Amino acid sequence: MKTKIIVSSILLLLAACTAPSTVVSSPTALHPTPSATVTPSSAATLTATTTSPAPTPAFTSALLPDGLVVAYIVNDELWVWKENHAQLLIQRQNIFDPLLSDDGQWLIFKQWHLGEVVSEEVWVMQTDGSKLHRLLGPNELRSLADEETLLLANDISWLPGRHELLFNTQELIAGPPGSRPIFDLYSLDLSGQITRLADPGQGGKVLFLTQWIICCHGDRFENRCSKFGKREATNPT
Amino acid sequence: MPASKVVWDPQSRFIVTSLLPQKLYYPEEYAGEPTQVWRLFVNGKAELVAELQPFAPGAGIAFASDLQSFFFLNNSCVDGMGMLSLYNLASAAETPLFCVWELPEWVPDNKHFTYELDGLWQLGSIVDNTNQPLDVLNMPSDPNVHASPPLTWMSDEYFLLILRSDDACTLNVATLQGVVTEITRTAPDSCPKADFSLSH
Repeated sequence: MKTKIIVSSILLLLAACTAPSTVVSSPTALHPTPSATVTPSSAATLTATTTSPAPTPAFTSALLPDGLVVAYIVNDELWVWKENHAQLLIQRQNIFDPLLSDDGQWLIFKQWHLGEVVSEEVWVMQTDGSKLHRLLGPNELRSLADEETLLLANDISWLPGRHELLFNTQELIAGPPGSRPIFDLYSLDLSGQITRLADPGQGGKVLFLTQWIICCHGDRFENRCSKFGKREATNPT
Repeated sequence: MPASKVVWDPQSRFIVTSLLPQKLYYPEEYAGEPTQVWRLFVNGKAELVAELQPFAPGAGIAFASDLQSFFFLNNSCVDGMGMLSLYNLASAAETPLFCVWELPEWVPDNKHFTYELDGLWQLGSIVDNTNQPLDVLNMPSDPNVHASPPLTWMSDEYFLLILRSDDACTLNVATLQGVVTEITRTAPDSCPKADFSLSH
């Protein structure tokens, strides 16, 4: 019981800290404008102030990188910008943290739910606005642990070059200040299939490079490296 | 003790990270032990690369993405500033540059870096040890407009840039040369939270 009270307090505090702004602004200001190359008002007077070979402000052209997709959230609206066009995908309360797959085809975002206990869900959709569905929520997290254990999805990120995600959870415990968080690590595909990659206490923040992943323990020097393609994964019970 | 930022070797052979002294957060026990920089190979081998006397307890290290060098601050400046120092991992040479308040950020070319000094953003170069005002961030002719670093680099050339003013907040794609393309414009108190992808 004490644990639940502490957890609820933490979650409420988190919700208060991360909830999107509810400030009402002028309607015209909230509508994304079509892409346009702009010259900031300062551009006209920009001149190089040294003879250094370092880049000199020029404000001359409207180049953008090929294949650029940008996802952004403004006032509970999720937008995608690509090919010089901004598209409103969804409008929902308490959404945050849009995250695009490498190829820009898929997009996840999170949503807070205020209930008896504040909970967080992860949703996924294609960047053309189709195939919206929930990937991860309280039910899925509960299935990863016993009834007495409360888990929070601590981090989530796309695997490079794949339509698959990694996330870890943190077991919420009532402990003294400085208690070590207990992280594990899972993979998650777009159908919602969850695969355990590291047991509780063996996971942590994940860093990627090509086929390698590394789990960095927050409080230990021993880092673990594993080759993602050759992992021995077991399904969570 | 916690390892700070971890950077992968571009060939996936090892990571480099720094390790703060064991007793750092226990002032009565901390006797000035150095911060250590380690190279950790994927086969489990560990190699101590450098030991540094940091500018302040917990002061960070900024690794270049090619892992040829890193920045750190030491305490040879006055007034609370740190001496920006460049450490070459191959030669173990340490080059003091100038006094700054905070560690700079590397530009993806690993030759330039950005930092703020006296309210002005600067672009520095480790090639010729020069620096110049970075006007794409300073907006010198319009003090009403402020850039919001850190920069989110998308490639060697482009980064996402948030510009704020009393009237609006804009999300832009920009280059250090000053090419700024606006993606969206919002009310000043609701700047976009953005992510990007680049597919080719």
